[in-house]
Amino acid sequence: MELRKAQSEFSRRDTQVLGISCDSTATLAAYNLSFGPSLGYPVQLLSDFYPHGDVTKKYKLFNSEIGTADRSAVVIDKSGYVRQVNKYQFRSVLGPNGYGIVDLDFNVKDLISFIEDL
Amino acid sequence: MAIAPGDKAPLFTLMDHNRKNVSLEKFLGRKNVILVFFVFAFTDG
Repeated sequence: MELRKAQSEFSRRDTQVLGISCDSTATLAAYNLSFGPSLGYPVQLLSDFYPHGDVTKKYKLFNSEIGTADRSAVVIDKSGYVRQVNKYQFRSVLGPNGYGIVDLDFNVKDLISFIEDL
Repeated sequence: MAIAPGDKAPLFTLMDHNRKNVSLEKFLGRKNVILVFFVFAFTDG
């Protein structure tokens, strides 16, 4: 299940999804626009550009060899504690314009059932 | 080692694609939050 299709499943379970990368806000704006208004890409994208990777480093998910985040998902409960950390490999799923899309792979179903137990 | 279950999530404020500030703190108390760290926009990471 793709993350953007699962968005309603998450919001029904009081869960907010935030995308984070070390891209600039201008890059994220262009990325968001590239999906087009009809798709309504639902994930809010946050820029960890400057100081570079500051937040990503606090979560210890910064890859200093390539200067970006490692592809991963961190589940935080309502009281602010980390409950699950998943790391993923690069993948090759292309969006409608041929660009890679921010996604969570097959793991979305597991995440939803995990959240229901919180 | 990455952050682990049981750790307190570090608070942060970052700008979104509209240059609007978004704070983790804003969601705490009412929502679970899933942070999806990705490699680069426009790539398959």
